[in-house]
Amino acid sequence: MRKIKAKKIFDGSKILENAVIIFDEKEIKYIGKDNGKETEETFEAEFVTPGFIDLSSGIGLKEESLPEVEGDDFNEETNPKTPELLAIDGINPLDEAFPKALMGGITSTLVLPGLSNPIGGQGAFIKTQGKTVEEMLIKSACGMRFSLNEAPKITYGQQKKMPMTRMGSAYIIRKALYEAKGDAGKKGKEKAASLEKKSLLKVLNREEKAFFAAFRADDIATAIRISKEFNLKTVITFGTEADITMKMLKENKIPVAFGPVILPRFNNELKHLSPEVPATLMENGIETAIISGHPYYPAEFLRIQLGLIIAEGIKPETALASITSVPAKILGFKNRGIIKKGAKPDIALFDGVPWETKTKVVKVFVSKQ
Amino acid sequence: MILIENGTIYTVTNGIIKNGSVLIDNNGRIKKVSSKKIKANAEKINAKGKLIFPGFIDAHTHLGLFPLETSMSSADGNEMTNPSTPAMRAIDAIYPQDPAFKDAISAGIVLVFTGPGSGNVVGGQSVVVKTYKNTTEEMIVKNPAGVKCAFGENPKRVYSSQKRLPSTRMGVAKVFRETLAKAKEYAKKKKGKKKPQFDLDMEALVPVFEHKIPLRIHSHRADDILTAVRIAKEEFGLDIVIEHGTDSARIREVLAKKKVPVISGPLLDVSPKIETKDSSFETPALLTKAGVLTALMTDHPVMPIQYLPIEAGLVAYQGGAGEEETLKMITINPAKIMNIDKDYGSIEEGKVGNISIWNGHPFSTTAKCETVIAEGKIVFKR
Repeated sequence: MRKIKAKKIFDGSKILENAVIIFDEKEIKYIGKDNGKETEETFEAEFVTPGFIDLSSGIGLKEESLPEVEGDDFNEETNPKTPELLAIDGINPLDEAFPKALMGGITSTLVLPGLSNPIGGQGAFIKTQGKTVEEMLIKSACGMRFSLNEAPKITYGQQKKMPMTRMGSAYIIRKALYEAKGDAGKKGKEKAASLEKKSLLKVLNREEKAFFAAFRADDIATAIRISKEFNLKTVITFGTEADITMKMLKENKIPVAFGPVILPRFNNELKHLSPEVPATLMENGIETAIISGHPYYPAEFLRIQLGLIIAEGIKPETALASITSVPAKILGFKNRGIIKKGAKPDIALFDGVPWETKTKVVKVFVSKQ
Repeated sequence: MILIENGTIYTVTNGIIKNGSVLIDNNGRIKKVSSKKIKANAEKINAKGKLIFPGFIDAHTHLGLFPLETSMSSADGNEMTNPSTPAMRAIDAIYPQDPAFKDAISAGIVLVFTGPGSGNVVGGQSVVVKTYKNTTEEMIVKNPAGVKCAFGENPKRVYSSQKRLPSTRMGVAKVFRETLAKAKEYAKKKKGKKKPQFDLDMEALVPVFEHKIPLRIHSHRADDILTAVRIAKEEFGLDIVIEHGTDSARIREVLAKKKVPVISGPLLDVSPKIETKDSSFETPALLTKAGVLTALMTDHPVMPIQYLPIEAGLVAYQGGAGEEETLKMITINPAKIMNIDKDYGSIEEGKVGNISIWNGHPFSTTAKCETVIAEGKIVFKR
């Protein structure tokens, strides 16, 4: 049994002052005022949060320091429709970014394939610690990557293949979903369906969420349009212009995995990028997670981005929730991203407020399954 | 005249003045810096509770050469058709309406060093520009300010894909040495009676041989840095500055002894290639402690320019360089490296009135730059 004594504990929704957490490797046993209970080990910290959850990254798929074929398994740019691909088959647990992310307070991350294909493949929700994907795995598959932005157009337009336009990208997604849907409910057919269709059926059955990578407002609107047509459970990732589509997001209860906040606006789709956007989303009650989008921004410093949003007037609790309880809720985990009795003991300890450059991560605990 | 009153002044070169005043005259120069009230008939800015810094300087960027919010057709940083192109001039490509200039001002960055990328072994002439003007002519502070060169992976990748020399580090060194040998001869002839036939590329290197400007050498690996020192400094006796210098801390004693400055960074990014594998926020601290003159860079657009102060914060606190030394790395140190420290890089009487006023320490993620004054005029207000 271990105990953490802290001046401040963020439990996923509020900040407790001068409190303790008692936990073992499997679960949190207690959070509250120090009840004097003796434990084998005691740790002290200024600020404690649930281990951070990065809701969209390419960590392990696009490896640090290995740009070419050897370390790049992010985009299978040979077919614009690859729902059958699994992120776990591409993740290298020895990517040097994992220990860094862990020391940045991130204990789990949703790894999704890259943006080149309108239908990119299935994600994996993994811990940032472990020598094999099996050790790291929390859930696979977890989510399906869809991509509505300029990346598929650039990739396939150059090959003179569809999609060369936004219409083409939407067509590929829509056609694949219709075809998979055609097999749904038909007993023999469903069994005999291709791997591709089976993968999409999980999305159509709402077992898996659809993660639409979209930056521009019109692309976000297309994602919402398709989601309504097929009754998908959708999350918008990146969401640069999500504030413009706020009404639609709200009406359809669609969350946004926004970020990275610190990113050069290297194309026209990123024109609108600013910390004000996620602040506006949060102020208006859109369920908003903040992501690193690693390798576009280092996962290790996910926490630093929160400062920019707090500077826009967002409460620290709301900002911290965007990398803890909110992503856990979006993924449907009731015992992650929070510190309460029975929750997984993924815990990060800091010597100050987590969003500051000054603050160091003191220690990180990762649950043993 | 502008009078900034009641603020905490980070002079950089003369400590911190609490409740201080800065007076900037009509010529845009700092007339007085004082811990006492200054009486003057001037436009007053009450900086009570605010922090006052000299305008920041980003010592290595590509501002205007790879404009934001657009496509590759606007990218003008690398003329990758010949590995040695000393006569390329950054000023011919800078797009003053690149939105990144406004981003820079919003973070108190009033001067940047900008120039060609690292595709070529000898890339061309870089320049120091103001971020708050509309035309390149008005923007220029120093031109040329250095000749960009590049060692290691980048030129190798570019030319090996074209099946041309250089495709090895030996090839890179050959192109570099050959260009310098030719330029040395040219510069020598220019001084003599029999003038050489005019050569635009060689002309670009004459100021380097006259020690007016340095070679700004992109290099990450320690062996590449030392190749740069060996050829440029030892064989040809030229002034050099090491750009990026990922592994520079490993040979910091050599660099300190040979008085080679290093511009470190970008650090707030994911290491994109083998050469940058050991990129660390600790590098600037190690260099400084060893006596190497060190500045920071965003390498914009690799890192967004406006986050230079946050990168500096991580260097100061996570990397261990400390607030005071790190502040120098985005003010007086780059000014010294670019030989413009007589006019820029600190809040001192006589220097150009470039000032940024903050509601918190710029190294903090929650601080915001509220007002920027350049040459005595307000150029940004939040």
